[in-house]
Amino acid sequence: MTLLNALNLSASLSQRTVLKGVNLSVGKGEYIGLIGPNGAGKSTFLKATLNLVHSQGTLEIGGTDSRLQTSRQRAKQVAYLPQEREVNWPVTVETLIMLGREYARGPFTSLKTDDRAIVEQAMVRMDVAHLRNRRVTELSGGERARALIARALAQDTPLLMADEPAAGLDPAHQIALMACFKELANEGRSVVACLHEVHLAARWCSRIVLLNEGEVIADGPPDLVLNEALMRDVYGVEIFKMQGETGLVVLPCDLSQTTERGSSAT
Amino acid sequence: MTETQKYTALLCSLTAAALLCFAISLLTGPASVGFMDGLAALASDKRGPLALIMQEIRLPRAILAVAIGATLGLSGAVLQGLLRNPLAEPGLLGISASASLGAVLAIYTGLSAAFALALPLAALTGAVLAVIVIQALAGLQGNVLTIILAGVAVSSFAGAMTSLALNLSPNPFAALEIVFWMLGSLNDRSMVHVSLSLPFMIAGWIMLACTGRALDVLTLGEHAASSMGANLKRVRFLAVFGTAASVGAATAVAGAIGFIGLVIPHLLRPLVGARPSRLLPASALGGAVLLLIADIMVRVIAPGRDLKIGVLTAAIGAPFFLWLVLKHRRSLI
Repeated sequence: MTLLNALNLSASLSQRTVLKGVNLSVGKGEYIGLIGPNGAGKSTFLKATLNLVHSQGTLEIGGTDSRLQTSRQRAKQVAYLPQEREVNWPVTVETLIMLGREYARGPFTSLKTDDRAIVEQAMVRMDVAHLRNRRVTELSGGERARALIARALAQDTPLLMADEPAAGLDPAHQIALMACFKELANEGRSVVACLHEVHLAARWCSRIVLLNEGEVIADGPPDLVLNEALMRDVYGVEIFKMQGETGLVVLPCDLSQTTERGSSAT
Repeated sequence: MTETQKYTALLCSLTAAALLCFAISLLTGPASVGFMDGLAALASDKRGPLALIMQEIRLPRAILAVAIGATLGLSGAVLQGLLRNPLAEPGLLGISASASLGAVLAIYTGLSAAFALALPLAALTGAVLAVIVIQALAGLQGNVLTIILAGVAVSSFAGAMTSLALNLSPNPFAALEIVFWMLGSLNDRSMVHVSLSLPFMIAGWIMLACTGRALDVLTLGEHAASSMGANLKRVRFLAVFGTAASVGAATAVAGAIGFIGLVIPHLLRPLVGARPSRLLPASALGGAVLLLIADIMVRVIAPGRDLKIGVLTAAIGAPFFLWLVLKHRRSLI
């Protein structure tokens, strides 16, 4: 079952073409790592699929034309975590996460027991339950990031799109986040995450899409996409790659140092 | 006590305070009226002097204080939530300035002298024109920044035109009337003013009250809010037109009353857990209480001098601004 289908998707920002005919479909239970250098069009792709920026091409969410859906219909299908961790008012962590259920209830009804259970589960998953009564503005960057991810999880949608969710998290919480996304995929939901942490994408994602200059350069299993030639061409880095006991290990290296070491060895 | 219980207690306290201030407002004035006599006079259908004072002078004044205070508090809370800016207030969109310009033109041209309702009607027309210009400048997709910029442009233009009218005033009495009107007052307002402005204010309140849920999710920014189900075009429309209808009508009958729309949401935000939707009813009640108190004070401080209510609210508002500056400076240290 295809949750998201983008065909020949193009988008421009300030008259600069950012996406150039991107084709990408997301199936049920997939955990896709969207990688690429800065300015590759990753964030714009996520925004375009949610109609947050103007785009051309075919765009279907849950089998229907995304552009004909209301924002509320779309919100039942896709949860989105923006890159910007904007929280304008000093609400508590619990209130913030409950916002994820805001449009699941009627305008004059309060949250039901089921909704509260979803909020609790999201808080536990992101390890923020103990922070529930703290003001979001008093949290550290990493704690705030986890609270915002929990808010997106609380939307409880078949598809989650997260823009750089691991940025600013300590290694333990990065791994916990990746494990959580993997668990969501195992439950039959799908996750598309823009990631700069190639090692996390290699270890946890079931599929990797490599974007560069608004185009899909490669799309497939991590082992195939994260190869030396592509990494060198797109990122300008060498990679250290091995198949470990727990999965694929890919570490970017400094190209200049590698070259120096190579030349000094000869 | 849970946050919901605290919120309910706050709303009950504000309602009680509003009712108390309303009663005090009815009993305040040059003629000394006992509480029970005053109540009896309000319900009386005899046309005695006491009934006249209560029904024709004090009741419309108190009703307008409640309605205008609620309008300013509510619209301030909505605009701060929409623009995600704690310094936003109804005057920011240029609606008060445009309504004032309409009223000033009515005084300047002598229309207000020829026809009593010309002044509020001209002010309402000014408010409506301001919204049309703001929407045209900002466009249908207009984001927050373009709405603010359009509002600043409209406000500046209306301010300049008002100054020009003062400059070219045909006589000093007209100039004095313009200045006095711009300071805001609830003195000598009648039930005609209430019936003229209240329908617009109620329509505005309904539009503004419908924005609560969207304002909550806007806490996380426009992109997140839209992805969570908020219809941003609708919420902008409701906020701008709701403010225009209610603040336009309020300015039309009472002149420009500043600071309530800024101060009240600020004061009450920490008491409602900073949640924008919860701030709306609290700010409406808080605005009503503050304007009732200010209106009582102008009658008590200088009974014979017709002290303008805008002067008093600004006198409270300016120190509040200073306090904000100090608080902000302390948070930076």
